[in-house]
Amino acid sequence: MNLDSIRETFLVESDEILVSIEKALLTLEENPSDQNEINSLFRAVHTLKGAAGMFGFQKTVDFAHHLETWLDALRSGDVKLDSQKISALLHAHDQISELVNIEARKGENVPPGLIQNGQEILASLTGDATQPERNSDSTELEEDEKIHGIWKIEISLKPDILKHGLDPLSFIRYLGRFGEIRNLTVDHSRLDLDSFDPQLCYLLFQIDFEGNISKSELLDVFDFMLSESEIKIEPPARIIKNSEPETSLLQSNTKATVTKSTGQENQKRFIRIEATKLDMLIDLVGELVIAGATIRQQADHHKLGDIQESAGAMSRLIEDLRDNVMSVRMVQIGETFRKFERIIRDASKELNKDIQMLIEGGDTELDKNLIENISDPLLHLIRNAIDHGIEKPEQRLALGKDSKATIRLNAYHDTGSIVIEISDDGRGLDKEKILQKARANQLISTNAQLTDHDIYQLIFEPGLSTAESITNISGRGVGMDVVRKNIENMRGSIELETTPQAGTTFRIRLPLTLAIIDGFLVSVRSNFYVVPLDMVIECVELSLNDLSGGGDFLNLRGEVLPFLRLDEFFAEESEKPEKQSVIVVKQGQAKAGLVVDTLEGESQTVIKPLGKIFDNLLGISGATILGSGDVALILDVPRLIETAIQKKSASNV
Amino acid sequence: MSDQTKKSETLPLKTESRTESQQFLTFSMKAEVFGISIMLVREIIEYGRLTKVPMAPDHIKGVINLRGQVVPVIDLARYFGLGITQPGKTTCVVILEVTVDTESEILGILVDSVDEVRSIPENSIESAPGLGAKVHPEFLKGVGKTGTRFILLIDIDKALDIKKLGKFGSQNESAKK
Repeated sequence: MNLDSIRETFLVESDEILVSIEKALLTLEENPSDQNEINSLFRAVHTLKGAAGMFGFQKTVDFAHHLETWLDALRSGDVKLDSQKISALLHAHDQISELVNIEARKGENVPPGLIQNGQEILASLTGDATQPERNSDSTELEEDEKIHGIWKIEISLKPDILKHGLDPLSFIRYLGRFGEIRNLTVDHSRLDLDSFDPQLCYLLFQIDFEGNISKSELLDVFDFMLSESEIKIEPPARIIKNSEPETSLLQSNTKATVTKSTGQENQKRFIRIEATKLDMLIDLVGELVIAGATIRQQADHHKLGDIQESAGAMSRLIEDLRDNVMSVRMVQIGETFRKFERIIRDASKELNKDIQMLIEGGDTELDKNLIENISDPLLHLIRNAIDHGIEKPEQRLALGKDSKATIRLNAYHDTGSIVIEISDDGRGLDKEKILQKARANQLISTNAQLTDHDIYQLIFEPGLSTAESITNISGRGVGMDVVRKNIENMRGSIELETTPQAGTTFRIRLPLTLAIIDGFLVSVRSNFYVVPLDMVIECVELSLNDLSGGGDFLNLRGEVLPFLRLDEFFAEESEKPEKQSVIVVKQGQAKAGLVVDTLEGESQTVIKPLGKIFDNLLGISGATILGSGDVALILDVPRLIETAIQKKSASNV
Repeated sequence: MSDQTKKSETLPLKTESRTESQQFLTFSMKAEVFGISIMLVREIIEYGRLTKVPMAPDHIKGVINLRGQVVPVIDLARYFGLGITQPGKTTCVVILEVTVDTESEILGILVDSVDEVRSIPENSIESAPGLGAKVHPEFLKGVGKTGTRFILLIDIDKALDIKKLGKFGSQNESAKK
């Protein structure tokens, strides 16, 4: 591991810590006396300080250190939280984030202005709490104060420390650099010769150490073993009296680190894995699924009874394996939801609105790649809700509503897809305003008759914003179309429900994963194509009786169904087979037919990207590999039909 | 002439230590011999089952399944304006790894037959002639001389520019314009 990758780890970790700090603060805003959150806040800052210290990000450490001192006072109840303090702490959070960004990510020097800013934040925290500040200052001094004398250090090692690759001796040797080890007592009382295991460490050490050193420096020496051991440090005798309580504080610090790493606060054990490794694993499992299917086909084909059976058993195992591997990439959406809490808080302050956020279904899992891509559209919708949807408290009261508005985020599974809902209890969409605007921008003709549903869908068209004033939160009329496009790129859909004066709900529907879809396999001459199954409504045979006139229309139980002959469209030259079939697909609100040669049936499809070379190709969204080893192309039905319509109108001109 | 041949065959042994020499995979397309830097070649496979990609430019022959990866195959001869490659007994697909915007991209080129790997010293490479060659000089790094033969050395960055390849029309024509 080189230094860069360690630093990368630090950055990832600090991001996570910052998220947890923010989360704790927002919980505390609701309930300022929540001791659990205060503790986790303290631990988070402490961990961050430790990590930053290892890399020598001094300004980050300095700030975090002072913050930690204040939080410690908070933890022991010397100071109390109020909304002002929470705001200051949120600023402190931003400050750390900025410091980490400058020191660790960019590797630049911290500008004095930022340090000044940090001091102001700290001053606003400690401003009216001078008493505890002094208290904690004195503990702080002691920790950093260099004292010359004989320190007593007691190291209790966990038995399995050696298995973790840590050699206590090297730490003691390292300690020797800072001063003189006067006396080293080895306590081997734990050693029981009958059950001796050479891989375990049975020894405890007591060290009398003479040197001019501070307690925190001593702790730094043992930094790496803190989680594997308990270290008690007694300062030189002359100040032992007044440092009695301090020893216990130190212990509790160490313990806090230990409990954090073993994961007490129902944190499960996590392993950090490089995303590319996981992608590769998923790819390989996809291959395995295909290879398994091939073997099964072969066994069926050659009618080999016992091999058929083994192949069946293997296929089942492979399917389990695939499900498991896919689940590895699944993450809970709650984390993403919680990110918005801060945004809602800040935005509502800025706009003088009183908004609370409710999260439901935070434990719903979806593909990590999806989470990354859904974040921006969600943010946009939430900003819209805050800015356009929710009224000012006075207006709300006048309407007989609770002055406190609610934005609800909900996620749940629904028949093979994930649904994410963002609802607000604001004023709802104004149908007339949308119509006016749409007419003004010539999105619809002046005499068009539209259903309510169609009118509301207009807000996803480019260049339509219903806000009268533009604020810096939203309202520039770019966005909703981008939101829809982003969601459609993830093969999802978005719709909305709105009731005047009662609120709006946006419902985003996403596939469970980006990597596998349920497909419907068809063939046109010798080529195979996959139509996403959720696009398919039904399949019918193409019989000449149904053809009405010479055009490409089909009489589907009295309905007129326009269709596209894929063979002609794809310029297949070989002769048409006698029988052809039509798959009826959704095309927005309407239906359309695709004429194919044969229907091969449903199949689970592992999506493979087509190379960059096909970026300009419309109508084909990817490829997949069939059990036979053949490549099948996945059709992007809406774009395919769009392209066909454009071509047709171009050729008619 | 035979003297010259001998010279150039014996000389490289001495000159190699002094001048840089590159290795090229040589292959033929439409009776022309081409060379491509060996560093870009991942493997060579037999021409087999290929899936046509509808609506794609004509010089994109289709895609193949390369051990689970979907790889586009390009009819370079057609792209160069030499004519359509007709698959025969010796037809191969040379799989190349090219870099596009810092990401590597795998693609195959269709060739009539693969010859050998040759070392060509820098000083035997001349710039591509503007006149007389069937292939537009823009696509060539130069012409390598080995004995009596001339090898057209393909400039991958220009000849296999993914962004241009994805568009319609033979680049040779537009380059000539």
